[in-house]
Amino acid sequence: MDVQMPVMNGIDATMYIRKNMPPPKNKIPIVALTASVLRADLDLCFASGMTAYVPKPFKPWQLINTIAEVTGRDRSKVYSGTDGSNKKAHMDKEPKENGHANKEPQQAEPQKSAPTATASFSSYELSDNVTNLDYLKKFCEGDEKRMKKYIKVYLNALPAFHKNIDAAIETKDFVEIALHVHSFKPKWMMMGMKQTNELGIKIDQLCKSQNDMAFEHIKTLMKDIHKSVKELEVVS
Amino acid sequence: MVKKIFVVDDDEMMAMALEDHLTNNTLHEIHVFRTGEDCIKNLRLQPDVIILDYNLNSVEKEAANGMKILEAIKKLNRDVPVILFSSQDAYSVALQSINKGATQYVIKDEDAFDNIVAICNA
Repeated sequence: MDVQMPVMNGIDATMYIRKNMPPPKNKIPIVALTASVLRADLDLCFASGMTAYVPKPFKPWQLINTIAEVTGRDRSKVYSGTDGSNKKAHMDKEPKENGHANKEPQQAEPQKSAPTATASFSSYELSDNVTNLDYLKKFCEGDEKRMKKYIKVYLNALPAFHKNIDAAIETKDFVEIALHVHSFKPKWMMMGMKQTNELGIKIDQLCKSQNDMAFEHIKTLMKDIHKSVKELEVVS
Repeated sequence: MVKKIFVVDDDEMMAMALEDHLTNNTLHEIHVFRTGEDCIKNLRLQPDVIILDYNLNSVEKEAANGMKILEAIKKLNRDVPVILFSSQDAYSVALQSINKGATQYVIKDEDAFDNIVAICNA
């Protein structure tokens, strides 16, 4: 169930199904597809009766495994991975979360400090950490010197980012805001800042429609960044 | 076969990550450029593969973006495979880049670096 829809949104549709449909239809598992990872928005999905959520943009394995979970199927039997074709590789491959080359399809392990795409709402928790260095550690093959090099690049890039965003907010230049936020996404990815990355995607979308809500989300983004600095300065 | 690979990305972290990952996982010769213009100037080195960032003007505002550089590369050497590398996950952007002559379009996600190694080794 997509959440943002015209006429009747996903929240209202779910509430209608839960309240007005006869059993067993009213108990049907409903998976929210949403670009938002804000706690308030996800709480709203949960309160309306949704069973689980998959963040957008999603990978096929995320959706398939979530469907398997909410319908009580064995995930290892449902999704058997890719044909190894390079052209599909960036869309269909299973994520590499355990430090192994992705030669065989693997079950996705939920990250400890970020919400998992396959979690049901009843077990959903927001962690206090905005960063998660598991990916960077795997990328750098556990080499701490290399990891520190990337962390340093991230931290050194922040003053210019702040300056550019402040200047763009000053002039309400949505195009510039979107450009700078967009350009920082790969850095958030390297630092394991998935929620921040998702927020960046949302800001990008809001800027495209020149929606002032972008400014509110930028405040949250800046808080995330401030937290990330505190977390990373300790290890850098 | 040892290949000559051009990495063209204005983002310091991405350029570093690509160079690192390719160096550590292949035996290929890696050349890194921070602007498309520098890549074009060095096409005489006859790269076997070019990995080209989509957004290229964060360092030099006047620098041409990835699509323009892709067109320029194809005019000068239509056979060199170009992999467009981008955070943009819109199909329209991917389609546009393929229509302009890119061989592959790789999204900058956690799988991207391994995907690029696989493509370069193919």
